[in-house]
Amino acid sequence: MADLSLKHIYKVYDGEVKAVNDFCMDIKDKEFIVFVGPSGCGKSTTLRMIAGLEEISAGELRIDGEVVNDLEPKDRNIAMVFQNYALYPHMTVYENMAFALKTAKVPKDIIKQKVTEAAEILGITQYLERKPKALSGGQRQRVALGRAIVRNPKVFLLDEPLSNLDAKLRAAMRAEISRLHEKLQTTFIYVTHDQTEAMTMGTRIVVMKDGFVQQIDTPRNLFRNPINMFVASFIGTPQICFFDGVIYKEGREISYVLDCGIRINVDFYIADKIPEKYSDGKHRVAVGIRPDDVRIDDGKYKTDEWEITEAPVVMVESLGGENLVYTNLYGKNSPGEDGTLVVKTGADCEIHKGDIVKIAINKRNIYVFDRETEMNIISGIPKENIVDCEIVKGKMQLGNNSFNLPKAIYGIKDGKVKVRIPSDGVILGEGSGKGKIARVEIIDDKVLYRLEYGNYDKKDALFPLFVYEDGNQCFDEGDNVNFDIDFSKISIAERNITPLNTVNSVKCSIVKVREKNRKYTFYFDIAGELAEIEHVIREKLFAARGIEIFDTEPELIFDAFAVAAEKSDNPSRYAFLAEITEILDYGRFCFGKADLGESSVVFPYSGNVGDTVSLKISAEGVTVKDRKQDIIIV
Amino acid sequence: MKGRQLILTCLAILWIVPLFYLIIQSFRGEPGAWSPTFFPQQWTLDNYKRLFTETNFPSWYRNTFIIALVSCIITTAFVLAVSYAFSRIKFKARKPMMNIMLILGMFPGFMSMSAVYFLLKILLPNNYQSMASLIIVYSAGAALSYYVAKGFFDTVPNSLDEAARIDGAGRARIFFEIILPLSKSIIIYTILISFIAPWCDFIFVSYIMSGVPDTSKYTVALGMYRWLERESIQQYFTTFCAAAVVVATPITLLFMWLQKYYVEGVTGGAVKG
Repeated sequence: MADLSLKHIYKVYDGEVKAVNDFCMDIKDKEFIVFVGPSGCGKSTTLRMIAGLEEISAGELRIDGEVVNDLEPKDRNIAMVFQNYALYPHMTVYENMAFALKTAKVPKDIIKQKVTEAAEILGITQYLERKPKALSGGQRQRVALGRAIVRNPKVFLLDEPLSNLDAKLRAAMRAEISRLHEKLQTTFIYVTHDQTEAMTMGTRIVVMKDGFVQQIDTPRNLFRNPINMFVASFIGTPQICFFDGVIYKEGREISYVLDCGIRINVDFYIADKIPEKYSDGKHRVAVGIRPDDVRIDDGKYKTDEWEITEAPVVMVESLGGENLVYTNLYGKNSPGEDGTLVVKTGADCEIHKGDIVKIAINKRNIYVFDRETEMNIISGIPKENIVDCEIVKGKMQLGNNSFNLPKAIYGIKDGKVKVRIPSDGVILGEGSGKGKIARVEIIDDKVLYRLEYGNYDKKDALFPLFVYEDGNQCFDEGDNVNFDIDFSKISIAERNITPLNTVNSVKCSIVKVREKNRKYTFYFDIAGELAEIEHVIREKLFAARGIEIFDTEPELIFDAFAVAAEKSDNPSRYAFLAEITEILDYGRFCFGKADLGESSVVFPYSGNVGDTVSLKISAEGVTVKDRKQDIIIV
Repeated sequence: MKGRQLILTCLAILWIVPLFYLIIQSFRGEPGAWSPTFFPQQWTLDNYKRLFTETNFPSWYRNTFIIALVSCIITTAFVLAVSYAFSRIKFKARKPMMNIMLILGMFPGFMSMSAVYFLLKILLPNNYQSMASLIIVYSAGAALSYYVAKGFFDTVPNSLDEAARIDGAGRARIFFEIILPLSKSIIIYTILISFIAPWCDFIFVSYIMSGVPDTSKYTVALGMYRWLERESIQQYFTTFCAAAVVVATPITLLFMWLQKYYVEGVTGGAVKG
């Protein structure tokens, strides 16, 4: 019964090898989180850091709001189940389960009651007097679970608990652990390399590779919106099949053209999500097709939803209940080569090696990845919209709508331009723009709106998005809404307008000064400008680095909105003093710009150039990065 | 195959003959060190009787037993604790310390004899030729022979320690309640080794106790050696043989009884937690 928060968690061995990189995650009470990834990806290390068996090199781990970085495992109120069960071989099952309670000096009758209860839940009552040696693998794992249950922990940690069991038992225990989670109503964190376990058990899954978190998402989203090729191929059996190709755009029609010559037309609402740079016909992409989205065509499949093509059968694998038909879109005849596409069919399907079959590919569920970066280019939530606009006398024409340009970018040359508007740069429900909600997609706790404006024909469609943190949907399909544009976020390449970078980063050093009362005070020093380090941050700095903090090369990173700026000559001791060099008025927000050391910082401020301001950075909004090791320490 | 067995048989005979000779000589009735026949002409138990009634042997035996027992207890505790620490606790000086201890352990112990002598003189100025000083000598360097036990602890899965840590046990509790009960064989091995070393040692005792007029303070090794000197060998040779049998018997029995654990202890990995 606990929330967990992992902030910028790192594990660094010998000051060099990073086993876990910048792991950030908030885990809600009663969630079943699964860490999944190939061996050596850092999933077990992360779990062990949560357990307290491994020291956290940098970052902050909270259980129920309390920072537990330096707490011993026993004080974290967690329980862990190990891959090799780790039962005490010389003790009976009862003693094994009672050990923790005995250590905690719980009265004997209560121990007995708790152990009996746990044994009943797991159905191991008849084995209580046996030694682990006399138990089967599944029974041992149950005892290990029982040992965890009796302690009534806030968090259950399970480190590949089923890998030592045979396939049949594994499936049974999988169900049992899920049932246990429901019964105990506790937070579970489960490490596995088996994607089936991850998909069937997790409420959310963390996919890791080489120490980096690839994606944290629900099983469904991992499957349908994988962030990159790695996640796409890791999740789903049989694996997704990739085909190299390009994307062509003719007018508003967009199609994938595979190297084998197959051309697949794309639905307009997917087409809108494809960033423009990919649809030039040159950018290499990898098109991913899941076996679940392919059928053997018996003439039933309509071409507006299905792409029909022919391919030779290379191999047929029978799984009893179903068959896997390996075809090759390139016409090659041996398995394992490029162009292999797997099709799932029923067991009674009469297809043999060497046959030429007609296959139907579901066009709506095709994945496209950048060949170079391997990232999914049709993300569930597009990052930006590229729209054609016209600048006329200090106004921006967007379809029928006209927006006044704010002072910060006022005075740019008139003419037709392409404007990039990030998805969170459109504000629905206010402003002078008028449009209509054409489609609503709910993606986890976020709502994606497709807003159409202007003449409501497809050519004018703007594709903005609205992200609701709490998941409340405010508009329905067909609603007419007003909208505004946050000009601080837009960019216009032709006019050299770039979005305002609201993430400030400043190099600094940490100094200590001996005060008159002989106590030391610690300061951030930015080119001679001092501001006292707030207590919370100081504690974290020393917790992360100890005395070596003075040798690190810290960099302060903070958002513009984390800065409180006030016109003042006499700053508080936690604030820096600076002079406004520029005022950027974006209409909705007005920002001030000032120099701090070598870098300039922006912050919300609406005064005049030349004002002297005190800048206080809120302790919650600042991160401190060690530039030497490239690690976030606070 | 046959050739190999022949060689082994020859070797076995070679090894057994002196032992066998010693045993039968302890039952010889004729006096003197030299006997013209392999088997005695007169069989008797007088040598054993004489050993316990006419000589200081009983007090030597008692001394040796006390020294061996006490230093065995201290040594076992040292070795197990140090080995466990080296196996489980990761601290900066771990590797260098292990290497230094390994190298130190390679030097023969008697090289330090004169240094040990003077150190004892400083440590126990009035009593340096005593059982206490022998116990110190035998148990002080015990931890140097950590490697067999460490090798054993390395095979006990670390996850047991971790499970116990999560269950709330401290280091000491883990050591005594989880690891030691699983390490019977290595405990017995360590006890055997650390009992035998002082039981059989001659070099240190001869050096430290040299010039002590009261022969009742000797250990068996030193006392029996005196019997083999030129002036006493004729008188005491058969008694010496009897004493040798008495000294060897308990250890031999102990070994035979605990042989199973001894082999497990040396081969380490044979036992899984």
